Amino acid sequence: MTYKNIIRSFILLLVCVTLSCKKSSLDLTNPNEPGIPALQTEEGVKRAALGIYNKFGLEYWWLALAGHNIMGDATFISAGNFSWRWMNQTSKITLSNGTVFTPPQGGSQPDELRARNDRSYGNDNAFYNEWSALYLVNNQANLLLDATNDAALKLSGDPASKINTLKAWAYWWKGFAYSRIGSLYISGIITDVTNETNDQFVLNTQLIEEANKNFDLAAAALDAVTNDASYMDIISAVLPSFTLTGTGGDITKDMWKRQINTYKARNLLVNKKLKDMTAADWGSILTLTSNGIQSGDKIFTMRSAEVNDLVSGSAWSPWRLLSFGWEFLSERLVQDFKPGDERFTRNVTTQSTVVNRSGRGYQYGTRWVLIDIADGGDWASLQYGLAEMPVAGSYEENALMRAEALIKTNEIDGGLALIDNVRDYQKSGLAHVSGTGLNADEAYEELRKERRIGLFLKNVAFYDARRWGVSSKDGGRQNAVVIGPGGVADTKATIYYNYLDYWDIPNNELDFNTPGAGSAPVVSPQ
Amino acid sequence: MLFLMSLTVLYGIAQSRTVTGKVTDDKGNPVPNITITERATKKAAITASDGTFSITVSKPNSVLVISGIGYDVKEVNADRASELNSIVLNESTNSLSEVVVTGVGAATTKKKLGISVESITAKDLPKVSTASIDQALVGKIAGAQISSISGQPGQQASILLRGINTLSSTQPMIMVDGVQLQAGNNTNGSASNLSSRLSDIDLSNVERVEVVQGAAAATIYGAQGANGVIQIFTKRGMKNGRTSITVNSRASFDNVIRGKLRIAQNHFYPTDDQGYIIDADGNRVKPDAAGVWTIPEAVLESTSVNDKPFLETTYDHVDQLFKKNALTLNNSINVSGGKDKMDYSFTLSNTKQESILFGDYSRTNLSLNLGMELFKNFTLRTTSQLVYSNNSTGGITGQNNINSALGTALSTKQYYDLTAKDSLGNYIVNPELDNSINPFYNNQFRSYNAKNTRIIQGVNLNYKPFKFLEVDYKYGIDNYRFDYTNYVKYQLNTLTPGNGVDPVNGQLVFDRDNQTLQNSLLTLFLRADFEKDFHINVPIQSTTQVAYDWRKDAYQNITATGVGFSPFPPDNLSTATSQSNSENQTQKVTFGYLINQKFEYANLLGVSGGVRIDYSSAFGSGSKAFTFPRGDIYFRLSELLKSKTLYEFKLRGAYGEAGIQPGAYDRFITLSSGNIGAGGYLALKGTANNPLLDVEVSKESEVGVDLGIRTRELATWFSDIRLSATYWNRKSNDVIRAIDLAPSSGTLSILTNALSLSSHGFQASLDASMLKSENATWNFGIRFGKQKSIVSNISNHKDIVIGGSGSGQFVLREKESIGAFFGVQPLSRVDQASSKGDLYIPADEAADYEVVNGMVVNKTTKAVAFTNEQVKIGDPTPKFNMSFINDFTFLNKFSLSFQFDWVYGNQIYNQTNQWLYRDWLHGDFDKPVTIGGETKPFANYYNSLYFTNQTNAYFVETGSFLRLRDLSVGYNLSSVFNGNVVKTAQVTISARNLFTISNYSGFDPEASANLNDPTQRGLDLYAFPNFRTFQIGLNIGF
Repeated sequence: MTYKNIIRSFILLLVCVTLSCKKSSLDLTNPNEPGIPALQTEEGVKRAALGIYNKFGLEYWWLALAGHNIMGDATFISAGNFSWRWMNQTSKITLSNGTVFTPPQGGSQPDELRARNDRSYGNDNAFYNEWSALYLVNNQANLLLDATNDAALKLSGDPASKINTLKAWAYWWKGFAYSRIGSLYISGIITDVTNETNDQFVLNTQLIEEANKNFDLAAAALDAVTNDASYMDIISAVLPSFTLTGTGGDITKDMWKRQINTYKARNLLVNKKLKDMTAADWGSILTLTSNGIQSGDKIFTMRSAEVNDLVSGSAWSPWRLLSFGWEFLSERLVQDFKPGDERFTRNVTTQSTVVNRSGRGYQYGTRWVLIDIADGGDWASLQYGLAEMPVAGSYEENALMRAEALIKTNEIDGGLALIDNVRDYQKSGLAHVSGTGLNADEAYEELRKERRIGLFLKNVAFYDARRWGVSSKDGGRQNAVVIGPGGVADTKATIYYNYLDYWDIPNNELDFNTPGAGSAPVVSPQ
Repeated sequence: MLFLMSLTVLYGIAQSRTVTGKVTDDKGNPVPNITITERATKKAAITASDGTFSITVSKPNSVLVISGIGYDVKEVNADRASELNSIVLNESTNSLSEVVVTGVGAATTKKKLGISVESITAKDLPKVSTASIDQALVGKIAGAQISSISGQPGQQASILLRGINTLSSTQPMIMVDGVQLQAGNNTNGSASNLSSRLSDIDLSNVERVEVVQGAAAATIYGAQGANGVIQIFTKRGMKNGRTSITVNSRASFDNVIRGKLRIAQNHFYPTDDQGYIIDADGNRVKPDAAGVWTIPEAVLESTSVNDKPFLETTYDHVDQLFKKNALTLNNSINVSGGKDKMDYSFTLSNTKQESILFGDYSRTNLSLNLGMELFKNFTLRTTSQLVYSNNSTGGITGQNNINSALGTALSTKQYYDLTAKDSLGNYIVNPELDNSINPFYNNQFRSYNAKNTRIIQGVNLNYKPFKFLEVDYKYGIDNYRFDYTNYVKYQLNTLTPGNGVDPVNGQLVFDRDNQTLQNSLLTLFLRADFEKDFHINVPIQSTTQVAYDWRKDAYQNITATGVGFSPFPPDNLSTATSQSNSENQTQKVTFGYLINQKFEYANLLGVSGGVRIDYSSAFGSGSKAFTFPRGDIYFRLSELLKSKTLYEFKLRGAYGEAGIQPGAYDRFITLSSGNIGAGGYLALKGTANNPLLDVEVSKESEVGVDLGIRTRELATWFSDIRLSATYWNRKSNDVIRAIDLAPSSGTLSILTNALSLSSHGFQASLDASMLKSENATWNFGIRFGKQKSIVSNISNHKDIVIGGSGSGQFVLREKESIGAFFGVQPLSRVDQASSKGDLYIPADEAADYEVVNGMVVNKTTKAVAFTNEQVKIGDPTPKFNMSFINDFTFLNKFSLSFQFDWVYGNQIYNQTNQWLYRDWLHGDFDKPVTIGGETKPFANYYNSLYFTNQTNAYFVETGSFLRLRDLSVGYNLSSVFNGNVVKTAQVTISARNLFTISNYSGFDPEASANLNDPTQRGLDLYAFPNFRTFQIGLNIGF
């Protein structure tokens, strides 16, 4: 073959090769992510179950929960990011000398939050974050339920027990999601169909009922689990490994059912004003808490991690309370420590006084800062994995709910004994109050203080402020400590918070989901 | 005649004799400076100004090789006198003359173009210090908005050609010598701090650049051409050219453009009797051993007046932050030449740029362009570029005010010294442990490094087996490996453990991108001349182009992260206490066919039409093909007018469609996956994929006119004026964007063909030979462009949210300009009502308010009142942009050139100012305002305008500017060297961005936070300003 012919043949070959390029070469699959058929495998459903944790996101662990802290006035944030500034914008502060402070900019919390209820605000729309995070959780749980109902799903060991464990997992998180939404928003959507919604907004009370229904389904699924080894095989795969320490760990069926009871008790307690609670309500709480979380129980917890984390290492309150001026310890929390409480000496120290931070109001002032767990504290840490936060209920919360019900049903000493238990459990070093002859009001004040301190960073601060009438339009707090001008601490100030009891539905929802006929209101009446 | 011919033949028998001839171009014009070489002896001659030559040949039937810059080589038998006297040279495709290939496929002279193609040769590109093509093109292409939006080393200029026709990126397709090049961006520290692959290409190796701006021209590139195409032609040697060596060396000095930004000279903090600022405990503010200051009692009240001078030492933080006279060195050597069957050009260049902030950027390029004729009519060309770069300037720009060097320097109180160190010798993380990190601390404890190794190889085989047929095959492979590390040092042993660069226990992120793009293109040209080939007596020429184009893009990212170091070295992925890693791969395959037919009637008229059919792995279900039609027509009236004055008068029009593909796997329903702790998870996606995604299609029509006016032959003044103008109109359908869904559905948004966009614009260029005399020349050019793009339709008719959370509450709204700013406005009337008719200020409170500077202000609190409805408050689209280019030469020794760029009528959202209003730092706080009859600099008035970072009309500013982009003075030293060894020598002193005329109150009206993001143009959020450069350069040719 001559030189020229080689070249000519080469060209001919190129023409043939290129023109014969097949369409099949376009059939690429995504090499990065598995498709839906992965859910028909045991490993796939386990991962989908763990995936529920992925759906909470920054929106929940940091934006929503910090919002609850500040609206409960356990902490404060003056930064405008994510509308925090507006979430804890008090309407009026009156010092003991009669000086009145109204917001230097903007109006009341409801007005400011509503002015930002627009999709264009993204995460700066306060109404958006908890709503969206928990509906993502609900949908992932729906996906998991679909997978457990798929006949093609192949499981090892005792498949029925594994399926029931997975169902319990899905129902538990659906119950959790509906509980949180029903405890914050005026209404919501009930949807059990993956990737679908509907236009029937139901009242928050119905959401709580739906939550309890899902909790019951979870408990029933747990009752149907017969093989403990198969149960534990699932449980060890679906709990984040970095939470399996402290009170976190492998949760047995019974422990889990006790958490369900504790959460159902919370659902009852925090969604009614204290003054509206009936004897029957207290009776129900006594029943539920009698089989609620015990002191040795492993519970659902959250921690930070260096890698493969859920809170970006530092994006949650237990970190931000120590670093870079995000979240500050409130004077109103610190004033609720009883003298001699070793939790105070372990956890709280002074810093240079913060007054009227950034000129945004006198509620943004404090003399206090937390001590890192690494230095002997209990709550917050700059080191990964040290701080722990319960996700749902805790032993302390169950005990204090029970204590409250006992006090309210005139078993004062029984209630105080539970408060003492919690204080001992948390190594407060405080003298026991049971058997000291406190009257009902005094006993309730012990309970109130203990809920403030004992349940600090346990995600109920706002619920309490609301049910006690502190944060509400018709409420307020007297004898509050406020750092006034010149850094002077006024211990007899009055704060009128005037916060929304229940939130409006975010327009992120309403823009695409117009409430259907017969829907519950989507705007809080306040 | 016969006698003469016989004589010639007889004479030819003699051994050595002289022959004469004449060379013309295809229009019959004589061509001077053409080399005539006798192949056997290499003896050569040059044509005179009238195209004639004479050469002594050594033997009968000697072959003469006719070659010259810009023309195809031709061979003639020296014994055929008639041929010698009518040698017609055809302009070649790599010509410096007005021949273009981009958008037309077959090389076409500009005068026979039905579409608008801009071209610029290397000599007209400024020798920018960064040696980057994008920077050199600023202001050079009529109609295009190429803006230097950042002083970030290694990041390209923003490029917006004709209109916005997609929401992903405005970046056009980039080609080098006919094959597609990777021109994306890799992360270099933050979303707004990118390392651009276009910046890898060495300007010193560029011969010529062609730009087609819209779909009408880009149809031949099918499903990837909708943003337009920029094609770069690299330097070639010359067949039979002598070896020439060119050395170019430049040094330049950069200083930041500070613009008009001012920081307050006064404060309103409580002070002691002597006037020193005190803290809440009544003590003067001071730093402790760790450098942490006590905090002034920040009582911003309605009566706070910003009129107290600082008695403390204050610092100019911008001055502290930016380096002075940051040095850039640029050296290159080019060796080129050729023999009769081959040409070569070899370039080695190096650029080392010191950032005006932290770090430096260096790049080395090695290029070889080798062409050879393997046998008659068969040429092989191989082009290679090796690139190595190292960039340590990452992370200095970033959108948030925690880590952005500029942002944190600006948001620091006047009396903090950014360069102060604590007792351990560390910089202070933040003087009040607030939520931002001192840039010097950041630089001390964090380092970024991006190493990029790249090889670009192209092969071109060209064969003309018969007169009618040309077969051209091109293959290009472009691979880079981008190794990026983000290293945070262990900081728990500082005096402020816990406050520092996150994570404070140290972290190393190793992030590698590896991407390979292959492009294979086979083209057949069938050419026929009806008169010559078919003997049909009509002057019609036909060109048929059939092409097959295949490309494969393979991308892989591997990220390894190690967290948690010890106080002692070494820090690496192995010594970290926790590790994680992730991998991401993307592959995309496309192929397509092009058929294009062109008919031309003499020089009068041409018409062409064609279709491009594309298949892609990224297309919708079933992988059906997408078809993009095109057509164009031109009519040269000047052929009929036969005017010597109006020598060119062409009307043209074109229509074309081109596409933009969805992301590689956007149509697959998959689960996102990753790790939580030790376990793997699967989760539904927050933004759902969509199996029904279609290609975005852009349809464009353009009409244009090209004029050439010659006043008189050999006139000194205004001898030649060329004007080219084009109006275009385009519409993009099926533009892909994720649109929001109701969150209760469990999915926050879904990718879909959500929008239609429409744009129109006008572009014009004028080039005039103002003066042409023996001792002086003056060439003048204007480039003008005007364009507007609007959202014509959104599928669900709901706003599409762009920003939020600190970067502006921007949206895309139907019928509004793309990228328009939306936000609230200060009330302008006390009795102003919302669109629902609700009064913003209740009537019974109206007396508490008054209008100050056009805004409603509460007389007591001094706070400005705002509306609460999101309306359009500004538009970053300029009314027009234009450039003025002047080139002068004097006495063939001195040269002077300068270019002004003028952008007019655009608006900027000055979020930098907004943050400065938050922190009471902006210079405006010193300005008195009259409220309630009192004239004082009320702090709450200004602070209230910050409005908690909510996008509002107060911070919308006019961004118009006129910038002296380039000023260059050269002196030709050739005469100094007598021309024996040194053939050319030139020394050049130039300045870039020497001055800017603008009312903009920030640093730099051209700087913008986001590269090529069509939805967030004109956002100044700590945008990295450009710098002013002085450069001295020396160019020597051997």
